[in-house]
Amino acid sequence: MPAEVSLDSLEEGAILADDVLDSRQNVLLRSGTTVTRAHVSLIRRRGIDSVTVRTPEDAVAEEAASDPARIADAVRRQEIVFSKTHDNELMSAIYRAARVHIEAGNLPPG
Amino acid sequence: MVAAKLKDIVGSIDALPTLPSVVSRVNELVDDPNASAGDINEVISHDMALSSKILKLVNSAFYGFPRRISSITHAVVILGFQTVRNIALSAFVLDAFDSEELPFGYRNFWIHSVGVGVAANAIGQRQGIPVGDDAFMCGLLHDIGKLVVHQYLPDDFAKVLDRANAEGTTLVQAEVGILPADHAEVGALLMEQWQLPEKMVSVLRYHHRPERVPEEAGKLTATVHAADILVRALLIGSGGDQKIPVISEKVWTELGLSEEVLPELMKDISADMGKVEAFIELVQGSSTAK
Repeated sequence: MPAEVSLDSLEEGAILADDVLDSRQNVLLRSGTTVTRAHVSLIRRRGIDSVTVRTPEDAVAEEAASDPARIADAVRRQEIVFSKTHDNELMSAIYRAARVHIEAGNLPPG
Repeated sequence: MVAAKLKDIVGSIDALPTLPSVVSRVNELVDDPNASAGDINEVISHDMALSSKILKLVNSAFYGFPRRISSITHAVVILGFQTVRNIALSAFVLDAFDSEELPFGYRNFWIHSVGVGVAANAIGQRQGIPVGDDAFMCGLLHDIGKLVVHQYLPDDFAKVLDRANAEGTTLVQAEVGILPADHAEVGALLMEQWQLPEKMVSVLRYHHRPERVPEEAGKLTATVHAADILVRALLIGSGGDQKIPVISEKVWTELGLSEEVLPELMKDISADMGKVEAFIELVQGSSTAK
């Protein structure tokens, strides 16, 4: 799970887990950004005292999410879930999109 | 009247979870035009445990505020009365039921429910449906009738689950002829008993029959109906069955859904699921404590 860290503990190279917003809710830095020294200064100037970053556990989870065996298992479960709805056009559209989404590594939370 | 109906269904309403007086009072204040943020703070602050859960949810990634919200008054000013009422209700309900031995897993149940809240919110935002914060709340609560049935009619609920698995149907199909009322109706009656807004009651009652919902709750019900189906399609949590209900064509049209928009919606849902860990943690806390 991503962790909230104070600006004093924020290190270069950390990856942001959430967008960093200013006081007007404008996005300063996008989630996924690798933090540089300039970013830390920017965040400090805007008076923001903490941000959320990815932890090593998040990286492990991401790796697991790209695990082909887990994806194959999820695809099999999807086939069972949709086994009685193939004659419905709208459900077929949902199935196709959901399958592509899972095959791209977007596995459900455990 | 509602109490009598619930009694007919579950045999006794005495043991049903009652809405805590704090949440009930907050619910009244939401409808009171003279109420202030200070009034809500005064009511909630008397319950330290609830206050701390509310602040934990308010400060979670789901709401995404850059600065920490440290008081209930501050939360009300920033989020509004209705949202704080909904968060108070979430904080209570995630911990209100006996979690033991739910056959498909109490945590799975709540991951599905939180997922439907997330998906309803995402549909509302991406499709420009004016459902506001109620979308998340209604998604979170939509299947609460299943917990009531499991707790008070455990043998019948076990039969429903067995039938759904054996015949390869959805749970709501398997409930017909076994339960005196389906989980949607039971959930709606509980919401009525708790004197929650009529719109929420309607969403719970009609989420499997959106064609029949009264107009004032139409968009919210449509959103939750579609959210339930998308969350099942993405295998998020479990509603107790392995089959997916067919989406209502009326809902598909009303929400402006299309094959083109589905991939974007699914990305929104997966991304937002990463922000609701604080809600799931409340469930974990309750299930390990019991």
